[in-house]
Amino acid sequence: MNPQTAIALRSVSFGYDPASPNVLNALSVEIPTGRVTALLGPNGSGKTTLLHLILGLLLPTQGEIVLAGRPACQYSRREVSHLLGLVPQQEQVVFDISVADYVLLGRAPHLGLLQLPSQADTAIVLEALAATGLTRFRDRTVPSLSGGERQLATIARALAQRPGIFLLDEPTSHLDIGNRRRVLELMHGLVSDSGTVIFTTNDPNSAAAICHHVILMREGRILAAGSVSDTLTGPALSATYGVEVEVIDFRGRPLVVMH
Amino acid sequence: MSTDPELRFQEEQRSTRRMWAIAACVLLSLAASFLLGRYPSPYLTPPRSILSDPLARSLVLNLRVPRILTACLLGIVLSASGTVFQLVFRNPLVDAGFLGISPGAAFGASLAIVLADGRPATVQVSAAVFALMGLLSSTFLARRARLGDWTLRLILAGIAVSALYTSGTGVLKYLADPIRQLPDLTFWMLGGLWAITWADLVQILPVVVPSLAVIYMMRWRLNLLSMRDETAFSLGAAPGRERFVLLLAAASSAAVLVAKCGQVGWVGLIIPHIARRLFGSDARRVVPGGMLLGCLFVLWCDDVARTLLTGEIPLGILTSFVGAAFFLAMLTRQRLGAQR
Repeated sequence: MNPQTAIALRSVSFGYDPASPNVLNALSVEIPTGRVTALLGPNGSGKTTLLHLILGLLLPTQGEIVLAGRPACQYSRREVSHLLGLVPQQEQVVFDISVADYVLLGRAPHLGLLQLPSQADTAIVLEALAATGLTRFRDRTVPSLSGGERQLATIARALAQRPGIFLLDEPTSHLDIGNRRRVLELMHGLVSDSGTVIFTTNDPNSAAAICHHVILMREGRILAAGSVSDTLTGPALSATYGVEVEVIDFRGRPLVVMH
Repeated sequence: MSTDPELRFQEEQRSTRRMWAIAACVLLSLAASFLLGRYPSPYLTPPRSILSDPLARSLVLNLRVPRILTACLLGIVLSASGTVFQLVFRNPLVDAGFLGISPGAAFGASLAIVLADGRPATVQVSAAVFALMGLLSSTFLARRARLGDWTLRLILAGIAVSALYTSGTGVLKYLADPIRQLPDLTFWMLGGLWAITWADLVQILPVVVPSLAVIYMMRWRLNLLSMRDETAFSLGAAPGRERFVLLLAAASSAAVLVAKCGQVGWVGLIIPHIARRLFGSDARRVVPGGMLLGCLFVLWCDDVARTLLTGEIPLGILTSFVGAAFFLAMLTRQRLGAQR
């Protein structure tokens, strides 16, 4: 495996039920280190399932996942949580926990089962809040935040976790234009800090805005993987979404327009 | 907890002050409770009178003190277990009644009263065994179920097991002798601490102390376990295993106390809500704050139950009445501290 590869999938297949067809079929791809990679595809193409497989929440029915050069099955749960940080699609927080206490949960992988967070952990939380622009919200409750603020709080929690690889599941799907841009810039900033970002999206323009590497998925298969210029093309995207789309150049970045 | 004022969040400062105030209130209430009673004189008795009267001294030392300490322990356990259930099930409306614990204890007690000799020891053992069987059968059914995530499966299994126990208790009530057995059964279900002795208190400690220690030491972890499985997992937790450990601690301590004290309702439901209102929703503060509040609440209710009238008022009636009134007040003011 290339030393610059963060995650490698080797013929990975997965099905929720043995009696039903697989959700993912023989996926083989390498995800580069220090880059933003978009998993792009229509709803139901298996993007979230793939993130859950990488995380270890689900186990492949066939094939192997390699994380930073080692098979994923050789990692302990704690090691995985040091390496991978997840920003789920929609975090449901039932109780009125404050933003600061919520972000503090990101320190859990670094603490023992009975250990309480220390002053150093609190300092890391304050840094994460500052990086996401949420310092003024630290005493607000998470359920009282707007969708965009809540998404930023979840990203702040992942920042406090300090993983090498960030997995973001549809991070911009429920956001307005302003919040979408803030989240995309934040994701780009994570890579500048030597992190690796993998995010799922069904919006090709969000992928085009910041990513270096794209994986196109449809019906549990990888249709194409590679650089933005190789993958975000009219024919490739038309095949991915099943509708005709055109890709135009806008200030040096591809802009996807639906016919 | 941080000592640097720059790094301490406002909520933490407020709740720490409140915690100390409630702890002081518990100590004062404990001292007052030792002097409250119906003998040698109704309501408050001066310490001198108790010390000078051998019967009063014996009554206080052998009956009142263990009863008061058990009342404190009951409040602490019910509120701690209620907090655990609410956080683990991510539902602010659950308590020990879920997972078949309280209905199991009621069934066990009914069984002992109606079909066995009905002696207190038999009733307590039977109640504890069936309460724990409620937990184990709920967990077993949740593992076998093929619907939703672990939390949803456990809630559904708990509802089914509780319903089975409740119907079984109904059958036993129907079969009970209306003169000899039904009054015993009804009185046990209303809950109370009138029969508590030092021996009873000593018997519950081996289960209750380690359980409370587990809940207290894992209190920050409860925040993590109140998140969805994928979040808890991604933050290094083993959600199923850690939740089971906490549920076992909460359920076994609640089962042992319910077996001794009968059905004392609403404490596990209402106290965590009040604790969240006073201390914020961080379980690091809700767990100890709830324990103090639960202790205070049951202690005060028991003081009223044993002092107000010449006859004992069943404790469960008082806790349910006050708890439901509090709950309605919080519900109508939308101050439940939760989004469900």
